[in-house]
Amino acid sequence: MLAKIKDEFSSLSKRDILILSALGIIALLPIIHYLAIGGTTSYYLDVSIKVCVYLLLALGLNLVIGYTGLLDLGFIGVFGIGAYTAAIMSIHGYHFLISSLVAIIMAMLFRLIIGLPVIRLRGDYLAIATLGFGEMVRIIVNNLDPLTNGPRGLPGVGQKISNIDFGILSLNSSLEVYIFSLIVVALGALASYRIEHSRIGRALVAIREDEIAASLMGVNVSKLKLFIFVISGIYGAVAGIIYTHHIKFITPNLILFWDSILLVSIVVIGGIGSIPGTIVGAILFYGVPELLRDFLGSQLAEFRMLTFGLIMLLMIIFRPQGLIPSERRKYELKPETEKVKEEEDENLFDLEKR
Amino acid sequence: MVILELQGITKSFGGVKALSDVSFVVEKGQVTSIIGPNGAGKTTLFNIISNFYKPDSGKIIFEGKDITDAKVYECAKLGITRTFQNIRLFYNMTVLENVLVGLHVKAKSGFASFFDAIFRTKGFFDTEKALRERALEVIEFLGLEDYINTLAKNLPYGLQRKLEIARALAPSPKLLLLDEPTAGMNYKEVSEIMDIILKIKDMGITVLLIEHQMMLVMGISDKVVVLDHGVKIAEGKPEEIKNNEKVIDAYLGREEAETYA
Repeated sequence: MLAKIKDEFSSLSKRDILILSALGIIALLPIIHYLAIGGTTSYYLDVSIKVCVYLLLALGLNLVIGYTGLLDLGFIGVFGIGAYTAAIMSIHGYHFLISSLVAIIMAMLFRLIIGLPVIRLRGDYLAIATLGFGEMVRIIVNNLDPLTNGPRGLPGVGQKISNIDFGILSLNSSLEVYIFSLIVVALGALASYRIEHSRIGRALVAIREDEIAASLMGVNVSKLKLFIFVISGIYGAVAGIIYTHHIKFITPNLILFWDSILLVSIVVIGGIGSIPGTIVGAILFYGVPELLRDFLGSQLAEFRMLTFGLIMLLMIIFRPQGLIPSERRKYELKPETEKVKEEEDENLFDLEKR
Repeated sequence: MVILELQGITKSFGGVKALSDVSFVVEKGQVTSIIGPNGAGKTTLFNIISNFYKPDSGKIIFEGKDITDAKVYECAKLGITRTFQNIRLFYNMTVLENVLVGLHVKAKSGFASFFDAIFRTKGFFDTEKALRERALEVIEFLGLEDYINTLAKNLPYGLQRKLEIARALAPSPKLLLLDEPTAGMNYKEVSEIMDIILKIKDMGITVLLIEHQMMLVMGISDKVVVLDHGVKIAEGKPEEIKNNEKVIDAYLGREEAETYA
């Protein structure tokens, strides 16, 4: 029985294995391209790193929106906190590990402080409150001149520490940053998967389904909501850290409301509560438009938002469960199994004949 | 032995007095039923016992402890679980998952459980195994074993009611509150539920029941409490209640009383 339980938790479905191998191959493409051109910089590699950054953010947001059902519209704020903390610490000469640790702690504190009041709100109210806190971060960063250099942004990240060295991996080239991001994304996805398939994950989904019933089953709803709110902050902070150390220059334009919306779209269209869906969503919604910019010219890329609206509408009409729905949600939007539907159709047909 | 004691429970919603000065005791190991016309305050009473509402005045004593100020989520831990008049399942979770959520209080909580989940420790698998065994036991007890991986919302109505009982029964509560478990069921299903309740009683679990099916109430209750307009108008053994003039006037009616007399 124990072996069976372990199997149940570690075995992936055929679909998941297929998606994972496909993603693995896609992840290798930028590396191959980089090695092929033999250069020191590669546009595709840069785009891939940014996709990883958005992917981490989307994975974090998926914990909050996908599992727990809290519509968080200000998630980009925690990204800003992580990025700015890492940048400021790094400019003052702190080591990568220390600045990262502080950035993560700051992000978690931020989520805890805004979480305490926000978590008590429901539905639309929660969405509006989180939206406000997200905007607040941008405005503060914009105006806190002595610390953040305001709208001019912070240059020179990583100049004082010439070398980040983990022995085999130092974060000095795009390739190394990319490999580092891939590892972090893989760990993030694994952690997310393990949270979902555990007592905590079940309780989170139960909260999404019926808060009252969940609390009467002994789930401490507000504590658990706050907990996952804070944990999702780690994903946001790590994304910010990678971004900062890769671009080495950050401005308040990093923390736009539009990016929060982009993230929500990635989670919703990818398939709410589905990790593979979130990954594919991030690639499609961040990676593909960036690549198309190359082919179609920057002018057409500006129509991105317009295209987004169209895709959103089409998705809502034709595939409301998302691109790759979570296994559990797969059947939930169909009224019954196909067989029952067929039988019903037959019965109707018979009635017409009579 | 008394397991639950209600002392002068009063609750108003705005100008409406839902319950006024309701007191009674529930004996351990017995089936106690609450009956009364619609709007009598039965469900309000359940909501107060499960701490979903706070009474305006009065006390709830459970196993000798005052639990009036307990939090909703603490009830399950104390050993009180319930079902709902309008089914409240986790519709997009499977039957097994629903019951596993019911077992939430039966596993390590807090950071320990998070740590176990992230690192997939031996403790994690041991706990999951134990929870699953218990869940399957309860699922089989209620005859849902063919539907383990079915989403709750795809279950037929009668089985949804049973799943709710399974979810509440899973953590082996000391006191089980059943709010109209047979609402909308046919005769055969009602007698099935009756058997189930008797078996639950045999497990040593105290049952507090809200029910309109007199066949069920009179058949299995050790004690019946009658509410009308938020006031307790009678309590006693089923036979006493059947012949109580006040109850006949307020709720049972002449014909019904004769049928079950």
